[in-house]
Amino acid sequence: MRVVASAALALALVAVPVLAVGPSLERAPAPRFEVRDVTGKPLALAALLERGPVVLDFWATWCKPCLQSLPEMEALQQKYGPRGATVVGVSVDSPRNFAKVRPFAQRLGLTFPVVLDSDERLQQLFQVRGIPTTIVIAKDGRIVRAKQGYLPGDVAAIEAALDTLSAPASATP
Amino acid sequence: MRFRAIAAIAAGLALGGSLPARAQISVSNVLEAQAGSVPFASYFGIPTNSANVYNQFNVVGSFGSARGGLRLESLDNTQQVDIYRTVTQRWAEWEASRVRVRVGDFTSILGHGLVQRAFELPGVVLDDPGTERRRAFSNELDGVHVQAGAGPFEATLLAGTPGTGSVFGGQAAVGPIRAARTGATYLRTTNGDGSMQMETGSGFLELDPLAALGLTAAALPLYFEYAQHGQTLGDWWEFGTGNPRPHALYASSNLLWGPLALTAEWKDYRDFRLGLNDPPSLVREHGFALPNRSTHVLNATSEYGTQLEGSWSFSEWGSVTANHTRAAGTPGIEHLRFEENYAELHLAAPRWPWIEATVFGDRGFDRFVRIDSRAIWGAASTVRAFGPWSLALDVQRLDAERANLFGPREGFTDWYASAEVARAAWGSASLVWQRSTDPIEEDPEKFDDRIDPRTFFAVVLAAELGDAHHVQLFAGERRGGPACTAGTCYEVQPFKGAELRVVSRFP
Repeated sequence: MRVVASAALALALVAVPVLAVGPSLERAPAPRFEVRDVTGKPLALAALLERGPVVLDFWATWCKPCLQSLPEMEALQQKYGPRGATVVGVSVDSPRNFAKVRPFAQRLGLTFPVVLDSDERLQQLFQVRGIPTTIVIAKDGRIVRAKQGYLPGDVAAIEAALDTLSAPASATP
Repeated sequence: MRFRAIAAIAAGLALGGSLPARAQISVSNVLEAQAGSVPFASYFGIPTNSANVYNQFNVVGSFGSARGGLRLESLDNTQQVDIYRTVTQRWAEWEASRVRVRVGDFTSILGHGLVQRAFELPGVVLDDPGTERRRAFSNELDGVHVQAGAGPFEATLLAGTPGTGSVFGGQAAVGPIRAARTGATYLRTTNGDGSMQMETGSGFLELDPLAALGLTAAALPLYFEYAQHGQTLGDWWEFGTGNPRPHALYASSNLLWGPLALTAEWKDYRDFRLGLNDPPSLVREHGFALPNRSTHVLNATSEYGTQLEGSWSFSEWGSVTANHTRAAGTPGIEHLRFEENYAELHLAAPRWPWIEATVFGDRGFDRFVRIDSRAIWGAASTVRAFGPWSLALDVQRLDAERANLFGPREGFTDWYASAEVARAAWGSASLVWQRSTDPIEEDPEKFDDRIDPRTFFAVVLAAELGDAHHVQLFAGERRGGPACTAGTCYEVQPFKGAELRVVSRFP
C-alpha cells in the first residue's frame, strides 16, 4: 500500500506543475552561459540570441540516436543559419571520449559550434536527464521547446518552431 | 518531516505562476516503478514478486544572477527494506561576469580527470548489488566551488567532501597565445579521521600548432597531461613513467583534414586508482549492446596502452571507421593484456534519406577478465519510408572464449536482436530478444555439464506525452551484467517483470 501511495505522490508531483503552473514555466528564460567551443572560440548564449533563436542539442559520440539526429541538426543550421538561428551541439562525453569529439563532429560534417560540457554544468543548468535532448530558445531568451529523446521525423517539430522564431527567409542577420 | 517538505515544494510549484517574472523555476522528475523479481530469486534468498518505486525530483530556481537547486530521492518497496526519502542534493550559486561561486553539491573536473572528477550520470538509476537499494548515480562533492577568469587566465578552487574525508584543490590555466593553453592542477585529500593526507598534482598543455599559425585547412589539436601523487614539489618535475613511482601520463593528438579524422592516444597509469579521479581509459565506447557489455574497464593501478582511431567520410554515402586499442598492466601478480580491433561502415546517403545502416565487426581479447578471444559482428538499419513512421532492425552476435582456472576454456555465444516501430512525436514499440550460452547465465541450481542456452525476451513501449513527459514501459526479462554509459561502467541487475519509467521536465 505504501508503494502505491509513493507512486501516486510521485505522479502528483509531476502533474501539479502541468495543471497549475504551465504557462509560466513554458516561458522560463534559458540560463545564460559563456563557454568555449572545441576549437577554443568563446561562445556566449546572450550573443547568439542577439542574432536569433538558438537550438541546443545535447549529444554524445556513443549515442546511437544522436548519430541520426545530428545530421538533421546540421540541416537545420544550413537552412535557418542565414535567418539568424544558431544550432549549438553540446557534447556530454566523459574523459574517455574527449579526444574523439572533434573527429566525430568532423566525420558527420557538422559546421555548427560544438561545446564539450566537461564539468556537466550545462547539463545541470538545462536539467538534461537523457540524450539526445533538444532545447529551442527564442530570441527573447525564453525556452519554447525542450524535448528528451529522438525518433526519426522529430526534426519537423523543431523546423516548425524555427519557422516562427527566425527572421523571414529574405532577411539577412 | 520530509513529507511536509515535499508538500511544501509541491505547493510552491503550484504558486509558481505568481512568482515575479525574473524569478523562474524549472523542474525535472525521474520515476521508475518495478514489479517483478530477480531470476533464480529463491536460490539467492531474495523475495520473489516484489515491487518498488524510485523517484527523483529536481528543482532549480533562478533569481537574477543567483540560482538554487534541490534534489529529492525516494525509494519504497514491498519488503520495506532500504527505503528512504532524502534530500540528496542542495546547492546555491551566484554568477557575475566571469566569476561563479557555488555552495553545496557540485560536479567538477580538473584537467582531463587524471587528478579529480566529480560527476553524475543524469537519469541513470543504479541498483546497489546485494541490496534492495536503488539510487541516482552521482559522486558529486559537497562544499564550495569557485571559478573565475580574467583575460587569458582562468582559475578554479574547490573544497568539500565526497561523503567521508575532505578534499581541497584547484586549477590554474592560461592561454598565452591563440589555440594554446597550459596549466596545473592540485588536489589534497584527507581521510575521514584526518590521519592520512595525499597530495596529487598535474601539469597540462593544450595546443593546436596549425591553428596557432593561422592555418585553417587542417587541425592538429594536441593534449598532454602528467600527474603524480605522494611526491614532493621537486619530484613532480621528474617524469616517472616506467618505474614504480605513482604517476599518470595521458596524451592525445588529432589530425582533422577534410574527410579524414585521426585520433591517437597514449596512457601510462601506475597506482592512480584514487577514487576521486576518472582518467581517460583509452577504450572505445560502444552504442551497440553486445560490444557495450564487453567494454574493457580501466585498471589505473597498473595499465598502459594506446588507442588509434581513424575515419573517412564519403559525402555521397557515409563513412568508415577503424579503431585499434591495446593495453597491458600488472594490477596483481600476473601481467595482463587487452586488445580490440573495431571496424564500422556507416551508410547514410543524402540521395536516399529514407534509409541508413551500420555494419560493424569487433575482434580482440581481454585477459583482465579472462576473455581469451572475442569476436562480435552486427548490423543495424533504420528505414523511414512511411511519412512519420520508421522501422529499425538490429542484429548482433558475439563468440567468445573465457579461460577457466579449473578446467578447459568456456566457449559461448550471445545473440541480440531488436525490432522497433516508431512514429515521430508519438513513440515507439520494440521487441528485444537475447540468447546466451554463457555458463554464468545458467540456472545456479543446475549441476550437469550441459549448458542450456538462456533466452531473454522483452517488449518495450515508449510514448511522448507532449514535450514534457517521456514514458517507457518494459515487460519481460532483462539480462543483467555490465553496462557502460558516458564513460562509466556499472552493473545492471537482472530483472523479470514490468517496469514503468517516466521522465518529466518543465520547461
